[in-house]
Amino acid sequence: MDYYVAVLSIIGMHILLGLSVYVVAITGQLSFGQQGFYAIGAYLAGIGTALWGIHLLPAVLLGMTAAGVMGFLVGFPALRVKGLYLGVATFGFGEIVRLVFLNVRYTKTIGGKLVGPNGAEGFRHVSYIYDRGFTQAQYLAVIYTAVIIVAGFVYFLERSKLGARFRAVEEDEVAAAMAGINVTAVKVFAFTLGGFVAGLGGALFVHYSTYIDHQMVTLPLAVSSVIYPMLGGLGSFWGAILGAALLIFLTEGLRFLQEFRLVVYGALIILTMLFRPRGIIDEAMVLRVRAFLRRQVAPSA
Amino acid sequence: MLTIEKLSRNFGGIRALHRLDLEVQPGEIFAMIGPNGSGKTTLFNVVTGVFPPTEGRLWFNGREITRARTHEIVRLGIGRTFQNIRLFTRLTVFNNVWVAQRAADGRRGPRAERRRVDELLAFTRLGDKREELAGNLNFGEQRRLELARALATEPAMLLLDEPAAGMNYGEVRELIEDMRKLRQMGKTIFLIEHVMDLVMGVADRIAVLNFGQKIAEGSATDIQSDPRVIEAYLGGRKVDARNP
Repeated sequence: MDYYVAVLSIIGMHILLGLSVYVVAITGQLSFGQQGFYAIGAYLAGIGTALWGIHLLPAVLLGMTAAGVMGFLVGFPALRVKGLYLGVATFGFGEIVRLVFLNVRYTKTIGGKLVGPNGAEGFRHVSYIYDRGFTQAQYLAVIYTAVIIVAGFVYFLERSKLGARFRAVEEDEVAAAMAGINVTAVKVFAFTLGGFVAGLGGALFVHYSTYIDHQMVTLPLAVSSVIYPMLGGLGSFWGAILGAALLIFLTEGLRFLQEFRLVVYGALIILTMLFRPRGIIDEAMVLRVRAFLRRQVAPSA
Repeated sequence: MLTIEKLSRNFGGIRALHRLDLEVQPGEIFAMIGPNGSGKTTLFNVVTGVFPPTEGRLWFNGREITRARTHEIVRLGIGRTFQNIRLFTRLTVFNNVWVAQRAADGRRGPRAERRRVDELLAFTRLGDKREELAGNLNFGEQRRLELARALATEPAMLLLDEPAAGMNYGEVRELIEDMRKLRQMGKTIFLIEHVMDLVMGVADRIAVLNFGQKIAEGSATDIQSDPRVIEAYLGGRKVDARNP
């Protein structure tokens, strides 16, 4: 039972990572730096509860906001580069964040334990939820409350005119500008939003694991965050959710294959790219589902 | 309405536009013709802020737009269609038009906005394609959708970049009708075109561009008899079709 709670918790936090890539990706910007925002959210929220003794909610909001502000700042230089170059630049940002946290020391001795970011030792003893007697299952509920709020927000964003503008910018920036869309504002806003969402994921993660260090926010995390929406599909936010759930279940379910499971993982990605370049849930599928739902609502039409 | 003064645009060593002066009057259909590579599309790109001019200045309705950004120029009232169609192919037909709508002064509620989109789709005869992906439309429909999208920004002036390219005779007739309707709606039209029937039939005034310079300007009859225009289109020598 605990095992499934743990897997579901991980999926929840990775859904947030996937959604943070997704909201940026639908403006045509592929970010390999969301793990940087995740780390910012984790470290700051952890500092909030473990060192300053504030409650979980304000600490999470603090981590999230810091990551969002950083997303806003990263959004501007990101305007200058596209495609692969943007991927490399955003990954560079993620590495900068990681190396900063590798070198930050800000510790206090609390209850005989050295608490706080301690360079390469990492940040231990973020024990808020265990000190307060939360069970794993209760914390799972906290995580999914956050996931539902974020997914709901992205759902409404997607159906709004702003969401349609995101996709217009993705497809053709000149045509989007000619449709009166402020392309700069859309792209920077998307990065800000992505920062918030990834920061939230990190803030929840550090309280779940009680520990974070710089090795947790490296290239593998960047790549999986990007793969969730790309495999699950870029037609709808459900894609990022599906991708995260599918890949993590698969990783767990294929443990008997040991290292070979990564082959399955890679093959799956190649197959998707070949046969469904926009992922499993692509735009055409979204339209078919909507048409189907409309028919169910109004069978005579 | 649109005033262009000594406008130049260079790409490296190439002079795409050279000291061009132009004035488009409100309410007219103004056409620009010229051989391939004469700088017509470059002119539209400079007017809409896609790239800045090397030299010269531009005004629209008395406001200088020389260094303005594209979406600002659009909000001042210039709309444009593209020569090579540039739709949002993964958006629905409806959304292609909807994204271009602005309710800057809050005058329009969401419901009125949607009604306006449907009006524009009806005007461009795309009402029954509303929920399809724009990428699935045929060529003529895509061109009409570009027009609907440009109209959604409620422009006072429309820049049409070779709207008849690739159209058959019937479609060109429809396009001429549409342009006349647009003028009746009070739109000023600035047109770039290769299809001579269209230009001669519909334009109030025509300017001819060659190697980035304006070589003639006037009515259709003026242009057709201008020796510099004939030279630019047919080459240096007068050619007699019967005795080449």
